[in-house]
Amino acid sequence: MTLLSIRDLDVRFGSRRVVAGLSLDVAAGETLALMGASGSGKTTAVLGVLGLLPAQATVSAKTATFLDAPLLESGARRFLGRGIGCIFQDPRASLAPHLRIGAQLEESLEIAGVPESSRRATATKLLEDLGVTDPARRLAAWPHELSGGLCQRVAIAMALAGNPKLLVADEPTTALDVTVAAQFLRLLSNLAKERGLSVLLISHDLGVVCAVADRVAVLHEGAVVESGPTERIVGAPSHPETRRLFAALKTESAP
Amino acid sequence: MSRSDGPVAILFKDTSARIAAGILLILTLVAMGADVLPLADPGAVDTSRRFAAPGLAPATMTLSAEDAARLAAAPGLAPAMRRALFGDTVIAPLFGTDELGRCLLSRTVRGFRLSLAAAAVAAIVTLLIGTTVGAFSGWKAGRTDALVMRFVDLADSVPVVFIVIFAVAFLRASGITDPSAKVVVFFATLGMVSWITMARLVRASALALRSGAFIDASRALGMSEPRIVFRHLLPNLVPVMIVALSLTVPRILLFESFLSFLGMGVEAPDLSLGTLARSGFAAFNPVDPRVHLLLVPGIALAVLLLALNVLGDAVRDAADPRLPRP
Amino acid sequence: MTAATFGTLLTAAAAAVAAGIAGRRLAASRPVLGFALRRLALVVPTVIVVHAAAFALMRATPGGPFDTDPRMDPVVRAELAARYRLDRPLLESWLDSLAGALRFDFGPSMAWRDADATDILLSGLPVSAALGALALLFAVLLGVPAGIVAALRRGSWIDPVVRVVSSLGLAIPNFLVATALIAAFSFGLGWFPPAGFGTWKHAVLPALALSLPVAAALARLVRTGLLVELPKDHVRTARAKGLGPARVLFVHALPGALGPTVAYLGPAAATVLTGSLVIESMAAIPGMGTHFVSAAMNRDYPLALGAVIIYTVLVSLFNLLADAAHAALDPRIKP
Repeated sequence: MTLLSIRDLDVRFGSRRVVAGLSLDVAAGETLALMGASGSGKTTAVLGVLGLLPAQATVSAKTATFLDAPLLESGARRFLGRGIGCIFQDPRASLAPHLRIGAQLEESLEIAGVPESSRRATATKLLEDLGVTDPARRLAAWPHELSGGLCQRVAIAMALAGNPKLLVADEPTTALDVTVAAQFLRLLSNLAKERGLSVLLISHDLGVVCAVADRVAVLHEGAVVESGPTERIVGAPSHPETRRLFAALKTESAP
Repeated sequence: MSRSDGPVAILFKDTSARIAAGILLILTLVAMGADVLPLADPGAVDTSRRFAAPGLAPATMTLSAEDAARLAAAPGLAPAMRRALFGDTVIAPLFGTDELGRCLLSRTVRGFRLSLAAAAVAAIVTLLIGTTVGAFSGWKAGRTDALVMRFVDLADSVPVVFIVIFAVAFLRASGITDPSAKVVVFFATLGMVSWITMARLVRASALALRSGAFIDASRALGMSEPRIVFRHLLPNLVPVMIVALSLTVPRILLFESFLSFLGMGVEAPDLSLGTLARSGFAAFNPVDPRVHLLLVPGIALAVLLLALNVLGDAVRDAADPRLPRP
Repeated sequence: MTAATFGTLLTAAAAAVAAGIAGRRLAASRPVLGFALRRLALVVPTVIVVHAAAFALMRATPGGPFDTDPRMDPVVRAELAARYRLDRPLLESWLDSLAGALRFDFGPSMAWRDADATDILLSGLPVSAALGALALLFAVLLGVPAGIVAALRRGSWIDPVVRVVSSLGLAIPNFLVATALIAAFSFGLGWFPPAGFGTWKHAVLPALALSLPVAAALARLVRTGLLVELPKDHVRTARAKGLGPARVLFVHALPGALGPTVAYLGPAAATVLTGSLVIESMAAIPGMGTHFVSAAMNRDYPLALGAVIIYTVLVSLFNLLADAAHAALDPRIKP
């Protein structure tokens, strides 16, 4: 079953066309990695579909649906925090600095429809499930008092609060150090398996993609140039841009 | 905008900054050349035209025989230039006249000149005190810095307006009789209470420069401390001094006009925009509001301040977009 | 030196030191409270400095305040000097005056014979406080929404309009605004009285004139603050959580954007107090500003000194309040 379906997505900032005719599908339970060099429009495309770009951006598409319901023209608002959860690149910057962790987590639970009386307990359980020790103390903490890895777990907890079917993860490991990133990836694939969660992973890290993705879509200049199962794309890329991208990524990661 | 653009080029790319700079230039030239321009004597009383409304016709008039004789007798270069350029022609009271029939245009130009002079003197005093305190504190760093900044904090919580009013009351009774000396002392007082912004910004910059590579290099080369301070530290503080002035000068101008409006600043026969507004308000009444007496000096001040603020914003953006705005 | 003077000075010093020490102790457990206490301890030295400066200027003035009437009987003059303690040695009268100031007892007024300077000031304080509070309220109601709308509608016509109007608001002097308001709403439309004080109608125009520069500064601060805050990651997270636009703005974006605005509350109070000197004398409002200006003109030293001390305390308290609120708003700031 197709969860997310996008046909001919365009995103413009004024006269600049950042995403140009992008199409992709995410099936239930699969992890799709969206790859591409920086500036290829991966993040812009996903944020555009979800209505999270600043007002100057104009987003249009032939179709953009989640569970067959339209996403554009603020249609995504109905799903954000419920059917769709998001985590972003810099986990610490993603948390409001002036609100305690508990308040931010309970806010997400409120959107998910959890009654006020049981929010604190649900929040504690969410953090516990993600392997956070001493959750009560964390809930009372400020974001700046937590480590980057803990902030990332809080961000995941917020994204999972609404029992989403689709998790959008924008470069979730770039801001983490190697061991924490590895932990995070294990967590992510466990979650995908246990909950039957679909993941739309935006990444330009080959290692990460190989570790978790079922399928890969490669972006170049705002459009998908090649997509398919991870082993085939990574093992035998056919499009020249894909080969160029992988070559660049390999030299980057092998100093 | 390309990276090679210097701060000045960035500054004048902004249209509003260009307009503001042009307005300031014209106003300053008019104020400085007031004695050359064919303006009426600001003190010339003509009771036949009391409270005349502003109007454009006639645009020029001929000097009365008495005024022409006074102009002919006036010594100095400026009156001579005026005689040569304009002869007996004088600009009519385009902005109307006051309660004694004096030309408001001419009075506003003189008042403007004094307000500008106030800002200049106060700015110099601000520069002297603020840079000395700020550069000393930042350069010495450590304990000295902490002590000086504690003092600056204390000075910052003093309500300066009220101290200035006290000082003015003192000045009134002090026995200084020379009016221009009084005016200069008054301007200097304004400067003495406005140095804090300058000191804070200069100090922060000096503190940063102090640990900069080129100062280390100068030290390694065996340069003496005074030489490093005067050759390397102070020249590099100039941008932040300009930024601080752009914040302080408008404040001093408002402050001057405000004290003069209260009757606690410039005294007659000297004119500033504030004293003009004060007499304009004295003539303000519901039957015949004579608003031009207040509007003319008020708008002159507002235009000056607006131009300074716009240019100040652009200066701060060009110097460093992260610096604070008022 | 009298026992009362000695007692007051000792109490004030002890209170300041105690507040300072308590503030340091509490710095770790209750940072905002500790910070407020340390700042409170600084009020006493500030009052001493301001008092010393004003006192020095007063005493350095040649001739006494009663020298203006040359026909005055020398015996009467000596009596007056004794009444205002002008016949004491300098140090003693300075300490007496300082202790009085710390007790908010400024002695008898010189211009209003038979009246106490403190009583006169206390009769003006509620008037000025009401006017100032109304002005601050107007400023917040005008400035904050204008700044928010300008930031949210960046690129539409609203933003440049707000920017130009706020630049004008900062540039146009108070007395001009007040005159324009009186000409329009009082002489023209007849909605509000031009001068005097008594009903709420008297307060509207002066408060509006006082509020304008503050509203302009607030609009600019809120606008720049929001423009910095809106593109931040955590604001995007808030939207991605499914929160509505109003909640994203008020709960997630504004608190971070308001830091500089709240810190401006101290200077704003100082602006309003300063402006009230002009506005009160223009509109003949019997507030502290009017008393202070006439006292300074008439060399009524106790009254003028009292007003300066009260203004100093007010400005210090507002600065303290503003900085404490700023610290409370952002837990990362260690005051």
